[in-house]
Amino acid sequence: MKTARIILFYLAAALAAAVCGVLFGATRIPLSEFVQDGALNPIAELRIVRTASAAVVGASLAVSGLVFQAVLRNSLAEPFLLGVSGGSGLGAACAIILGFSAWGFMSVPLFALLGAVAANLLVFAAVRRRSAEELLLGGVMIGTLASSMLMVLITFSHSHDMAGVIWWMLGSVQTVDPSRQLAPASVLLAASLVYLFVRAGDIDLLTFGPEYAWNHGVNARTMTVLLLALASLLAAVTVSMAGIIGFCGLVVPHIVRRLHGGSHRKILIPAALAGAAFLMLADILGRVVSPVRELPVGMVTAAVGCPVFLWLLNRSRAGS
Amino acid sequence: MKLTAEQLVYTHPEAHEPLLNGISLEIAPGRISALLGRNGSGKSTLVRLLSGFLNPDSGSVMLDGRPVSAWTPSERVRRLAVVQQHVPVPLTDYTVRETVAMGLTGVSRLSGRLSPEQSDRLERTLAMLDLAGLADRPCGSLSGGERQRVFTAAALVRSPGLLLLDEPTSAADPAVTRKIVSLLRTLAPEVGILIVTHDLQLALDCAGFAMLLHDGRIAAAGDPADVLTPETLEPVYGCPFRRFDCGGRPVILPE
Repeated sequence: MKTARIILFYLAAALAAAVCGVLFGATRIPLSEFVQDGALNPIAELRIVRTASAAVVGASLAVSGLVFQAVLRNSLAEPFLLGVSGGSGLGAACAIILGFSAWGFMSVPLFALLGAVAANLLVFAAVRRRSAEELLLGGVMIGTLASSMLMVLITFSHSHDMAGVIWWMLGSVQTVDPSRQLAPASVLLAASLVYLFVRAGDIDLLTFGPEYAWNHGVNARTMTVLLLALASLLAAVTVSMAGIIGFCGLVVPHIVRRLHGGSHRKILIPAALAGAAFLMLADILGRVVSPVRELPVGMVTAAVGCPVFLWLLNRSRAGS
Repeated sequence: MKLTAEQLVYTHPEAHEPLLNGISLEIAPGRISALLGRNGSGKSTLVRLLSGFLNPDSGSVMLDGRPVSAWTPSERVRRLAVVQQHVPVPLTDYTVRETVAMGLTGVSRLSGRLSPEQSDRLERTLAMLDLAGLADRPCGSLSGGERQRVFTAAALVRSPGLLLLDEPTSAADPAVTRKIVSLLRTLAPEVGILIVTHDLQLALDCAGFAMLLHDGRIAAAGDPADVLTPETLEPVYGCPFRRFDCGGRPVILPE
């Protein structure tokens, strides 16, 4: 299939998911009531923000996962490998349990972002040689350390704080602030897409390993660090918006790569659009299946993603 | 255009003793050089040092009079191409044409499209290595020898002035080996070539200069007919060799 056709297909899927995201939910809004007295229906407005948030978070996670998988040359790589999930969880728990959430609505996302970025920087600082493999191992170590510290905090917390941390860690796009969270995340996503599109040839070469990339004119070490840092930043920003949403960044890029193969110039935009569509649909499912108390979107992606992940795991074992 | 190494010393990060200790050599157009030595003697490491992928503990690698690390990556690869021994299988299964096209420099970063001159050069390189018929096949479906030819094509497609080949015929059948030798001979007047090989006969047949790497040093260097003798090879490989004439052509085999 030609690249333009592939992009059009995923664009149509993402647009269809976006329309469904605005139309469906606990309350049905007839089309005639979308605009009342020249103003947008407040529920419709909330759903537009929520659907857009799901799209940006899903696209960011898919793009981040695509980069991680290409640079680490591992189809099971995902966006939270460099300590992002452990760091953000610890940051959010600090905000909730230590009482910083009283500073305002943005304190939990801000602490989560700080925790994720701090864990990420610690990985880059602690790993001396900074090859992809060593960064990965460093990320697992720092992530584990952060998760242990999170467990210590949870152990000494009150039950309602504990519930808040766990709810946050399950992931949700319900409470994203459009101007302070959605807008900057959209700008970061757009800028990342442009940069990665321009550098797609370098990413292709990195999939053959750092020595091959070097022999074809890519400064492999610098590019590896840059790409992993950018992918981690994308993941960190999504975590600060919507908590830890698993599987989207693992499964979506793998499926797009498997279906369309070829250059990253060809699959970058489809992966972003597929990620957006996947998370919008997961969010709709969470609202429709349990309208009274919605299922967190992270739970839905896990329910869908887990069997796919196991299938991938078994396939890669059979392949090796 | 030439590549020179002066007194290279390199110690592997996990080792205490240097793997290479005082290596000097020169690669320039007009000559095919062969580098031979036992497994683990540091031949591939030397290629990595020459390409700038690894930095030596001491000594220098100069490409056209400038340290190899001082060139920008795109300037460096326009002059120096490397075909490495083992290329990891990528996550994405690119076609032969896509893989060889990755070797081109100056491709538009936005469109990824090749200019007519680049397309023409790509097709000529594919034909030169008998890959035209395989151009649209995914690399994952190729044999080891065919993949080796694809990576050689990806190095040759940008018409480099210097070419380092790490065991380019290790997975090739005799017909393909013959084809590659003939291609290298055709290129040699314009391109400086270094072949790393275990194939003593290939070095005798194809190279104008041979170097024998042993214990981190160049144990012998010079005309292949003088270097590849039972007397020099036995201490390096630890087994006896016999050399004889076959219709005026020297042949050397382990006993």
